[in-house]
Amino acid sequence: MSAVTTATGVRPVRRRRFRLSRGVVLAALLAVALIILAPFLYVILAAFQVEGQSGYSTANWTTLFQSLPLGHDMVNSAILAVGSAFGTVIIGSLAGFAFAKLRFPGSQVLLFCSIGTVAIPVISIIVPEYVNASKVGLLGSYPSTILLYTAFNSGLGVFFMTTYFRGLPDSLIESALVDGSSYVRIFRRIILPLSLPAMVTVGVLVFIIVWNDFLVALLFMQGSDTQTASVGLATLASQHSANLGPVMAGSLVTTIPGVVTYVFFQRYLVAGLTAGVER
Amino acid sequence: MLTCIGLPLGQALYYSLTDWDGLTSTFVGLSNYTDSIFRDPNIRQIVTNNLVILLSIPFGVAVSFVIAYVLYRGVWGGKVFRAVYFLPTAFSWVVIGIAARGVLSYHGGLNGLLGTIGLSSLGQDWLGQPQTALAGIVVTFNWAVLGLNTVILLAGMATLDQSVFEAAQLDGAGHLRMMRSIVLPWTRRFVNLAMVITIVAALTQIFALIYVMTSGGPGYATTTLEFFLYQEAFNNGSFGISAALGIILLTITLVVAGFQLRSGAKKEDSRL
Repeated sequence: MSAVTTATGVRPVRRRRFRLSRGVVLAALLAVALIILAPFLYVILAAFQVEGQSGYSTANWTTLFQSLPLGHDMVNSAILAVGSAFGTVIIGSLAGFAFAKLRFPGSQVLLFCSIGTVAIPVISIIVPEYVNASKVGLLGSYPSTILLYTAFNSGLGVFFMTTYFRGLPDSLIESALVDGSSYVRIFRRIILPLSLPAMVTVGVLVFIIVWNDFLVALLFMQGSDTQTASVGLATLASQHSANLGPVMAGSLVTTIPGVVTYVFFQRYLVAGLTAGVER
Repeated sequence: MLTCIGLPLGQALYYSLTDWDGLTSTFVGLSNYTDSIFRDPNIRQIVTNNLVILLSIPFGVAVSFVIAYVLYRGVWGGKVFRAVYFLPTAFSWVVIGIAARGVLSYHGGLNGLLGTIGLSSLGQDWLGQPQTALAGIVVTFNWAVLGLNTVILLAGMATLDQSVFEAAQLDGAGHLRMMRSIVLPWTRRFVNLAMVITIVAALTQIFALIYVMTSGGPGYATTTLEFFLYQEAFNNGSFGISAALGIILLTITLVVAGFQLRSGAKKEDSRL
């Protein structure tokens, strides 16, 4: 009873407090944004400044390209990232279609096992993986490393595509079956065009994961000829512990492809990440 | 998939019970777990490092939660803030580590900033001393995942019914009260998801960050179980011990992921 009277009595005060907190909130958000951005602004500045000298110069960039074949490394990264993205999309969509729309014995167990691989940390199996690859001489091979990345990421691909295909109405397939189409034809003519957005999401996600990966690339693509941009950059960073300028310049360059893809596909990626919980 | 994941998983399990140098292995039972790892002189330090990182995560997620709430309730420039916070998600751990090293090194940004505001006496080699080095890793890690968690929590809040807030506001509920009594319980699954993703990342995915920032040092001050696994295998050639460490990390991850699955299922029941 008294609550009602206080509520009305307090209202103007509450209003003013609210307005004040608006300003505080905005200031806090700005502060957080600054904390987020500061290290990268520092990287940008440091890339154009030589330590111990004032003013800006491109000396770091000259040093960078002298000590690291960054263009070549980035091509390596791109080959692995694009290859793995395609591999994962193919496996994810084929398996996802089967899991979502076909009935076959053991499908539930297989689905559980495929998606369950997401929970296995790469670090837990990387050592046997490495020893196996070195025994059969597959270290430094693009196809085998792409296969590895594809296997590590296909749990994600299968999960995402299965969820997506389950959302497509069964009647679509049934009516095509009645018309006498085969499953292969249905997949190519009906499912594929409809699921392009989902495939793009999976592909982009895997591209970024592989582009940014370090551990697998470090172990499986050793040697200056096959090393990726991440590995080249990290090696450079550990060699030049005093003068980080060239490393800063290098990290700017290698970041660009990932960031550009992110900015373009941000909406898809967030949807993909939370797809499992939102249903 | 079977040969690339199933086979090595089985091998990891088997070799974790052997003394393995990559070529030959002798069966030693559980002694990798009980003797080599449990009695390792540095294991206490390493596990403590892991715990320190893990204990920081709830605070990081809480910050993300508050930010997500503020952005959700609508604020001037919300979309821009959201994009800015999400930005580090696009960077690799290598680049994040390099940026952090640039800021925290002796001639780096933080000391420069301290010098400008007249606190140069506080300046130090942040990554060169055990305590500040670990703190540096903890802060960098939480900083890097802040945006991703914010976006996950925002996606959760987007599923809420707006009218609840109007009703709560009429009842005189403040923002703190709304966060605690409405948003938190109704987005529990998303909070759990954010927690689990972050915990798993902290346990198994920051090898590159540590490699670039400190290489586990000074000493073992920033070595985590994950980094220790790599060292045991590729610096010491103790593949068996490293396989055992892998199995330990796998078990922890499965327990954490299982918790997420169960709590998700439970929440669904109570909501329907």
